[in-house]
Amino acid sequence: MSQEIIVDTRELEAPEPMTVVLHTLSRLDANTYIKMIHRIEPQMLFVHLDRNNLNYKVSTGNEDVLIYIWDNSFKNLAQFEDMK
Amino acid sequence: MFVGLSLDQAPPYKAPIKFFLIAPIFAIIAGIFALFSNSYEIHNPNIIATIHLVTIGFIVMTIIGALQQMLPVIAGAIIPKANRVSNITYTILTLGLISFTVGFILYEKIYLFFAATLLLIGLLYFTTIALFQLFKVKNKSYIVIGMILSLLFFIIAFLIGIHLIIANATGNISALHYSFGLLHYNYIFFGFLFLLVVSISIQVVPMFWVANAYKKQEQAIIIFISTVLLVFYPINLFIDLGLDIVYKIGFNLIILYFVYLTIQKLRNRKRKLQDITVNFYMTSLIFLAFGSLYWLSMSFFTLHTNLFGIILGLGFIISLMNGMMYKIIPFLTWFHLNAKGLFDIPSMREMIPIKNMKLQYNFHLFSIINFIIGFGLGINLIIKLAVVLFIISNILLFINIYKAVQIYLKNQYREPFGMGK
Repeated sequence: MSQEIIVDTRELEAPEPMTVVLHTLSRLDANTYIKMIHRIEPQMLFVHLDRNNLNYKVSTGNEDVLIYIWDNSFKNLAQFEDMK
Repeated sequence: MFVGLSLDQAPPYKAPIKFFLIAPIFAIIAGIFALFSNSYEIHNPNIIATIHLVTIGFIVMTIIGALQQMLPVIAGAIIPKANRVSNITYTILTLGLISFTVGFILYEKIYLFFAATLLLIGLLYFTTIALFQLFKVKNKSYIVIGMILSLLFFIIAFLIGIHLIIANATGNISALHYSFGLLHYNYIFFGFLFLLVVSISIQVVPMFWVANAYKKQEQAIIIFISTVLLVFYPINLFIDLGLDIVYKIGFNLIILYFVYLTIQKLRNRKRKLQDITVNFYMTSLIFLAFGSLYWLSMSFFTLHTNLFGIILGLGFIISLMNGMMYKIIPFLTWFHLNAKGLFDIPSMREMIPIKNMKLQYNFHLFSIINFIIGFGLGINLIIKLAVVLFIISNILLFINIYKAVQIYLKNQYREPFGMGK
């Protein structure tokens, strides 16, 4: 069973969303992923995740932007596969 | 595992900062030219010098600084060899502007020729590199598309500007000279500046002011209709369709739509903290709407062109840039010190005292009001007062942004977590 860490940054002013999610990255492991909820697509975070070999998927279906982040040890990848 | 910020995600601190610091200095020099001008006619050499020192010295320098900083934030695009690109652009443009100033003081054409060449090279050099980075972005959002279009319109406008300068210098004025002039300033203002402001606002309004994001549909409407109108403009102009009014009404509707959306978002922002940058942004938007309606009215009534320049140049563009500098510079300072592991630095809000920013805002606003009254009533004394206020406003702007820069300079070599001396 995967554990979801919700990081809701919708009401935080830049640069707080970046600092909050960066501090949460240390909790990623084989069973844990982050679900970040934001107002916009945080481009600088994506560059950062790419450079640190972390994986992410972005969903912009509703009003908020959802960013799912996981590391290479994460086991339950199937849950991200059907995501738009 | 704590995966901290990495400095290679952003340009080196000094790459954009030097553009922001020199911008108010050129604005002060522009003000001095205007102060010693005996007339405020647009063809007066001192006024031509003032206009270009403000447009290139302040506006373009600020845009180049902001683009270096905003490209990674907006598009994840990083200018390679950022220090070198920044130093080359900065040196060429600064020499060009100094040569331009000397040329006007000494009335020597050779300096002006030298200035035009340097400015052309500097601007094309930076714009081409920025465009190249934007084209490389894989998933192009409307923000990236808007920025690409904005820079393309800038290049077209700039080339038309060169054509106009050569035509003037050689006395080879064609029947289409006036039309090219109109196309030049329409593409600079609506193609380059308006599209750039729209693209950057779509990103920074939700980011810096915790406001609702612009919907995709809203972004598409503004960017694509503006582009269609800008493509239509030269067709109408050169084929002489006589549909100027359609272009003007179209742009007015788009501008008013953008102003309405942005004011709504700022008014309904989620964290209503006291923030002087919101006043700058609101002021800018109100002058944009006012300027747009003024421009439309110029089709029906004889109105002052100078006033139009003040409303849009000072009221819209410079108000916006002042507000943006107060956000971008503390953000840069925070980002670079944080990435060095220094977590005990002042927060973004603490870097520039609010009362100092308020004071500068008041001088800026009173300067615009006095310009409008002065030009509106044709009273030179009031215009001179406005110029003095403009100079003071820019001195204060320099002092304020330097406060944030000082925080970086004091801390840049300090070791994190008290590990140093």
